[in-house]
Amino acid sequence: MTVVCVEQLSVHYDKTPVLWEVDFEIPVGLIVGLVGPNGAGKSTLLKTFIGLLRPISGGCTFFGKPYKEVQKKVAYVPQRTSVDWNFPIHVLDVVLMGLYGKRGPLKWIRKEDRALAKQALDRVGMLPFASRQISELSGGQQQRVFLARALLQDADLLLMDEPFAGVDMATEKALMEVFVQLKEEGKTLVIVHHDLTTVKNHFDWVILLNSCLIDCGPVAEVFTEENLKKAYGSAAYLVTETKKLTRSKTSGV
Amino acid sequence: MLEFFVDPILRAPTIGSMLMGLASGLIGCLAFLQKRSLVGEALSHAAYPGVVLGLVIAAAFFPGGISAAILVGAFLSGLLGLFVIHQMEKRLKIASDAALCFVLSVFFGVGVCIASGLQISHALWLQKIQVFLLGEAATMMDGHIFLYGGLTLACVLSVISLFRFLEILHFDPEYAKAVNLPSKAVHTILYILLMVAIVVGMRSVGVVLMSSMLIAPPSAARQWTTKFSSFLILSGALGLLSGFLGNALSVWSLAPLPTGPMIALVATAICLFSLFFAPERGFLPKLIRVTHFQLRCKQENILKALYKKRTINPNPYLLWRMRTKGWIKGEKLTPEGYSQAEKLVRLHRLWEVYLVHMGQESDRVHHSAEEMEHILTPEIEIQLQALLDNPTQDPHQQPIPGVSR
Amino acid sequence: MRVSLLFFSLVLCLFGCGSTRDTSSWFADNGKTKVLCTTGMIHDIVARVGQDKIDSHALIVGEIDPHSYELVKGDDDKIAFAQLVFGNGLNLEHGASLRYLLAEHPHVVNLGDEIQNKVPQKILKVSGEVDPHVWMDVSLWAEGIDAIVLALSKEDPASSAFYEQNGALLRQEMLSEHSLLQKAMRLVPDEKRYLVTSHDAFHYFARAYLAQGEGWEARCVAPEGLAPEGQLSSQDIKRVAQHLTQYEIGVVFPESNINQDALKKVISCCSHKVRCSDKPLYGDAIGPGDYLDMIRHNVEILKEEWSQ
Repeated sequence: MTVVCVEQLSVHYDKTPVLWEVDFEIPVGLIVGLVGPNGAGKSTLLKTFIGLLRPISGGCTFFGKPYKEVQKKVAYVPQRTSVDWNFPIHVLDVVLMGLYGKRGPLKWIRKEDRALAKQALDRVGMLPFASRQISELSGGQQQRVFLARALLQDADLLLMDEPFAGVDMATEKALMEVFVQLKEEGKTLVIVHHDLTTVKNHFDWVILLNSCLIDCGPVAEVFTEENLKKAYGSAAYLVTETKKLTRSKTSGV
Repeated sequence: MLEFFVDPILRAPTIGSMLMGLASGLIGCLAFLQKRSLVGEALSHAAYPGVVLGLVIAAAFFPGGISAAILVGAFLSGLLGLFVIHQMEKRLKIASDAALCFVLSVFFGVGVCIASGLQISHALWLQKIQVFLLGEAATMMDGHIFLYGGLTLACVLSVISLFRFLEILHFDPEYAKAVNLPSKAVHTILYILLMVAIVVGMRSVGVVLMSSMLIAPPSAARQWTTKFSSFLILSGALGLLSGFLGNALSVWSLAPLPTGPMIALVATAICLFSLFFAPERGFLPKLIRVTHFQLRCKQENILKALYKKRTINPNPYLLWRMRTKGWIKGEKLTPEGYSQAEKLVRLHRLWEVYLVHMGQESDRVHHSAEEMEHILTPEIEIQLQALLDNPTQDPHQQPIPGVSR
Repeated sequence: MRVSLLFFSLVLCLFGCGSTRDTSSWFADNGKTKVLCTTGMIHDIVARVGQDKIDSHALIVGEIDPHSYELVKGDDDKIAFAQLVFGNGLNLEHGASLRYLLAEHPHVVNLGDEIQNKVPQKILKVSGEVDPHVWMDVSLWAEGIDAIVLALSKEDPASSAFYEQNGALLRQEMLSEHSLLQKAMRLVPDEKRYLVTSHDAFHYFARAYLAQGEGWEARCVAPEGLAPEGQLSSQDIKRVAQHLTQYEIGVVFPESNINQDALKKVISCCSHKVRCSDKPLYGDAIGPGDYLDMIRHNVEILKEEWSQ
């Protein structure tokens, strides 16, 4: 079954074309890495998936349907830069936010909900920290808490934007173990990743992106030297240059 | 104490001030968390021309409804100010504080212009407006309690029902967008609640001092709690307390003191106290902890010097503390002191081995180890020993005491 | 853009709200001594003394509060143009801009200060502050006539006999009016003659017309102090409410240019029934007539309300 189907997707961001006619399909039950240089449109692709950005042309479907209809089956874990770390909130309450999508925030939290949240925390190895303030945790610990929140959403498709950014190797390993468990449960994961050296270890499939789709498929087939040159090499430089020019022309600088 | 709620002279000012404190303490939390506390200042000043115009229109056409007209005018004027701030930030891309200052000064200036025009033509109307500039809680009547009580209740109920929305929206705005939380709608409701809180507070503390009630209780509450629900409740409670105490102090004082400024002063005093003395985040406890740590370092350095049989020139106070801890007797190390000193030396040399292992040059590692020996915990010590395979010597060929093979 | 246009036009409209009086005639060059008076009460008696030899103009008219009056457009021209300025002094005009310009003017006569120099024992103090409302006692206000005559004669020595004559006539009129008013107030029974108003403007009035000999302080009580711009405290409300109960006062008298909220609050907290007179007194404002009309009006209303 196809979980994600993207057709001729073009997206503009801040008047600059970021994704050009991207077209691919992702089958179910895989851990997929979304890889590409800076500004390649990886975060933009995920944001378009969940409707935060609207495409200029083309579209995408999930489980054969548009996003709005299957919203509860998709969990999005954004980059952690927008979080207010000084906010007075405990780890358990952060995880409980995961229930919002399924039930709406007007319902009171019950004992069963807290038990579920604790289970999710336990799964990522963070149960002892349940009553700690979020700012007391290290980067890796915080990332695990956000993964626990995503687990609580109980989605079939997980979209994660750079979950390993600023995370130590031990945490990366722990997170990957949870991802593999999720895959065995039949879920699909699409993960934006920046570290080229670990791609082969972590992912079944790879989507190589540099504003246009370079290739999409099993790691061994796609993650080749030739493709990497196309994505990161000197030819790729033109993509960045033309994007800069477009931005200045369209905004009148 | 009970007379404040029963005596017909005192009950309206007291209850009115308390309601105001509760509403502004609660809503002020949300602006505080967004780090936009000065929006309250800008909006309360932006409400002033609404007060003036509301009075003028009501006095000219329907004199019976002056109070209501003033509140409605203030509310609408504040919302207009909010709209202008929003447009300036989004459309004209003006920096947030510049937009706030612009609205604050322009709106307030317009209000003062109109009011000074009234000085000539309708002096009595001007007096009614002055009440809202610095507040006049003493002349509040029982009818006011019902009005402000209703508005405060609306604020409290809104915050309770929107609690989860607010938590998610303020903590992780991107996640809020991702789960399709109606962010814009919630923000709009919050700003309306802010205007309601300002309108409730205008009568007791006045337009000019209103921002203190929106900022001081949340700042104080933040010092004492790390849970969002406790934060809201404590802030509301501190606002309530400020309202009551400010009112009480203005009655108990030897000379008659105005209520509005007293409330603001009490709120500020509570805030200052919290900033200084709150056990975890307060300035003084932190200072004490730092001093304590520094003293401990000095004592540990003396221990090491004694262990290495070096001559010392110790501070008698530090020696006294070490004696009370049982580390020395007279000027000699006790067994506990000896093992403590050994531990320090061990940590120092382990750390040096670690740094050299990580690639540092052996003649540069001493300084860092001097600092780290006071900081490394037993757990880290175990990890170091395991990582470095239980070394027995440091980079300078000195033995590492107490490491078992 | 549209928003800022709206603002601008709104502001322009609002400037039209304030009315400006036509003072061009006062500035006309006609050989008369140009005199500026701060309050209407001063302007009235100065005009009576100077008559057609001077052009007198009052700065603070209508219901404006003289305590906190700040200068508006055109005022500094008037002050600069005036040859002689009569103020009240005794710290009545404490709006900073007005006080500064008065201090700077070369020829200012403060009637209150002159009266204090002449009869210091008659000046009252309230909570350590000098009470500036000396015009409320007609006989005391008449003591200021000498200073007016002196100042006008200095400006125009040729007419000094004229001024003296007018001054003497005015003094006579005022003193006879004073005893008439005293007689009128005596007709009200003693236990009713307790005055509660909006601010402490009536102490001199109480001493002159309500009390007989000692104990005039209890005859006049108000929630606000000497200047009605202060902040009220619940203590003030309590004090007035207790006073109302102690002397079983049945009616309170608001003033024409002061907010009635404080009195309304006092009435609502009183244990017995108190009503608010629907005819206000003139405290700091001269009202529609002249100075003597003002005092007469106050006495009339008091007589009427207290007879019920």
